[in-house]
Amino acid sequence: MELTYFPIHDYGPVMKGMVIGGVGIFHVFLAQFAIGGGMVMAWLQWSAMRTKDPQVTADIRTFLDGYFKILVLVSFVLGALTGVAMWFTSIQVSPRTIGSMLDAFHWLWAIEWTFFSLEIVAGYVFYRYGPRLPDATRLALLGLYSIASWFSLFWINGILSWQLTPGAWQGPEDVWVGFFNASFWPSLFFRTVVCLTLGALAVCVVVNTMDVAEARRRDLIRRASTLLTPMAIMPALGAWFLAVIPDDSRSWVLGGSPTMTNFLAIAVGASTLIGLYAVAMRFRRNLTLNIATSALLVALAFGATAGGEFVREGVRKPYTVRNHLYSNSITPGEIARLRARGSVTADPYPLSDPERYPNDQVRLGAKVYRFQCSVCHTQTGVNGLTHVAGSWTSEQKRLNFSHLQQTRGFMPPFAGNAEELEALVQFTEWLAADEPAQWPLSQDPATTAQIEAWLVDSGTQRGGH
Amino acid sequence: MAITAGVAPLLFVQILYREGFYTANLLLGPRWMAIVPALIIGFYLLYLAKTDRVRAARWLAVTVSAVAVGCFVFVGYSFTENHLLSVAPSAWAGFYGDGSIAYLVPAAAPRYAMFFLGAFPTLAVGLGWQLRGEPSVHRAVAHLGIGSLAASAAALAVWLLTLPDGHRDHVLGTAGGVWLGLAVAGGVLQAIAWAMSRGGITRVGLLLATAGLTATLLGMTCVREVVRLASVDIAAMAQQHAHSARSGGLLLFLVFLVVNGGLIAWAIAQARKATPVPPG
Ligand code: HEC
Repeated sequence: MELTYFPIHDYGPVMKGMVIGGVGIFHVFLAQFAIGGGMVMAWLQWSAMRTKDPQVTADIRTFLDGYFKILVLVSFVLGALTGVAMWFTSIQVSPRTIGSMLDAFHWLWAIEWTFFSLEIVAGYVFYRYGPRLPDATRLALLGLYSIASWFSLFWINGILSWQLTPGAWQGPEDVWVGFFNASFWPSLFFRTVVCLTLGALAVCVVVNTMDVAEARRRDLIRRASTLLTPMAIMPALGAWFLAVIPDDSRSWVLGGSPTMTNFLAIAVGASTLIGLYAVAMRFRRNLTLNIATSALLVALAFGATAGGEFVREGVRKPYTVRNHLYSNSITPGEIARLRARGSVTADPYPLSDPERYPNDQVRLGAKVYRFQCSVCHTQTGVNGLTHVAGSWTSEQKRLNFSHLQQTRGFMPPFAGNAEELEALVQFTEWLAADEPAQWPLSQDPATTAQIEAWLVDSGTQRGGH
Repeated sequence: MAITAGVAPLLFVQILYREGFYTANLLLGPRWMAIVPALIIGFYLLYLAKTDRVRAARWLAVTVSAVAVGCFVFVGYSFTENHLLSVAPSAWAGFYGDGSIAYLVPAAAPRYAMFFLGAFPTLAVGLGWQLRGEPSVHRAVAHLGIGSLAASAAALAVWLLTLPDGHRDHVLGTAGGVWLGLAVAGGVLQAIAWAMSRGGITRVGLLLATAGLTATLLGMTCVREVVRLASVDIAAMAQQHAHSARSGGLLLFLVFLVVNGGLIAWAIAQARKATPVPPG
């Protein structure tokens, strides 16, 4: 997709990444719960059919019908709709990223859609007619539902993992190179285990809210919690994932970036607690899950998902497609041209609040900020420019803005000319000075020359770690 | 179900008209995204409306259904607005600069009226199939069919009259004319079918109406795209599409389309096996 200027909105103090992250975490959690829920149900249906005791079979059937209603109402519907929300927010944050994902993989999205349709139909038939169907048909429907939803994960996982490790992928003709990329398998297996865990835990919560005899409840919990066993391989899968991601990304999660390291710690900590409880349940036969404990475990799982998704989004910086597209929708190849031409010279969109600014230089700075920095920074709010650079001298700002990629490895190189950079410096200082009505112009040719020299010095390539 | 079915066309609209589609999405911003909560609320309210407790109180049932319908009307309207904005590049910069959140142009009204009213002939055909076994309502369904066709035809005429000249030329020219003709012919076919059905709905009548409806929907979809195409730079886009088209996977898609389509048919067929609901 060519460089196109899109109208970028300013959401005030809230970082756009947080919006997409919030919706994303919610969606991933619900979607994985829907997949895992299906697998656990297929498993319970199967194990019900194997018991010789017709009473047990009947009880499990009743439970499954009740559980499926909840699954449909909560995760199915909300999961699908948050999926749509996800797509819209992604467009809001970076249309060009979504454009590239479609460019590169549109038939795979179409394939994903066929599975999604199958999932919906199989699920709907079970929902409407399940209670009145023979066991074998029920099992087949649940199986179809689970397989179809797992394949949705399969396709989407390939596209998401491609964003982080596209490897030798060069363009739309390399579909399969990009799809079966280095992090494809570890993240697919990892997510599958997460799905099973969520599905099993949710059964434990729901069974506690339903009117079932104590013995039956214990039995159901025991059957469902068998599916917590695969959690044992999570550490290995996590290590595999870390081993295949780019060096700089790995170094950030392993201490290089405190925020990312903390989120990883949350994810690992929460998963470990769940795992420990599962182990305890295996060895202490009389230990089971009451509603409070199981709800707590689900909450922990949500925390783990949140942490994990944050890390996944975070380690991709400064790219949305590694080596091909920076987070601010500029490609590495365009930097040199934008430095020569000016990054916002061709931007047709005016500022939405031009009267707020004292002069044209600050206005230019605001446009540069909007185009190049606003995906990751707010003006004065979360990760605000005034917070990260507010206390610096003008000289420091000029030096560091021109060396953005060396200042912090998770920023792209500055993509504009010297006038734009100085305008951005003035914009930042004017913000930090509480937006006075008067602001002097900064037009010293020596300053411009210095910035130009620094820009040459920093180069147009990505920086170190 | 409708959401699932809706995702696919949206996907392809995105590939074909990306700049306009994305820009309109961004410009309308939160306003456009409000359709997601609207869908969620609408869906759960419909679910609520079916519960016994709500059904028991008439005013409650009416309110709940009305709000749900309101949500869906809002979603439909947002689509119209998004589409109109996406085909009006000259309005983009000004829209953004003004900080507008709604693209209210006179063109929206007839367009929306047309698509809104156009949903009713579809409803009539759906009802016709569903209520085939209940002769007492056949006359009402047939009247719904004829009435809504007449209303849609009127809305179509108004829409054509209010289209900008350039766009109208495309719709009435060779590119659009064929499709418009198909749509109108389909409408006539439906009208005949419903006229035949006033005394009672027959299988033949229904098949005729369904065929007519399919023709109309196909024709109108193409007319709509003709207007959209008229507003984008085709030469520049052709190049971009050639780039996208190199992306592999088409064959696999067709394979899965057939396989999963078959599985879907199988799943639907299973519903027949269900033991009937015990009376009462
Ligand atoms: C890909 C996202 C991204 C983009 C785009 C981006 N930044 Fe950053 N920037 C960050 C992150 C993340 C930090 C670190 C914040 C922290 O450590 O708390 C940061 C930190 C900074 C810092 C402080 C560096 C330090 O060493 O303390 C400055 C200054 C800065 N950014 C300026 C900019 C400017 C100016 C732009 C636009 C030209 C920009 N950034 C674009 C993500 C980005």
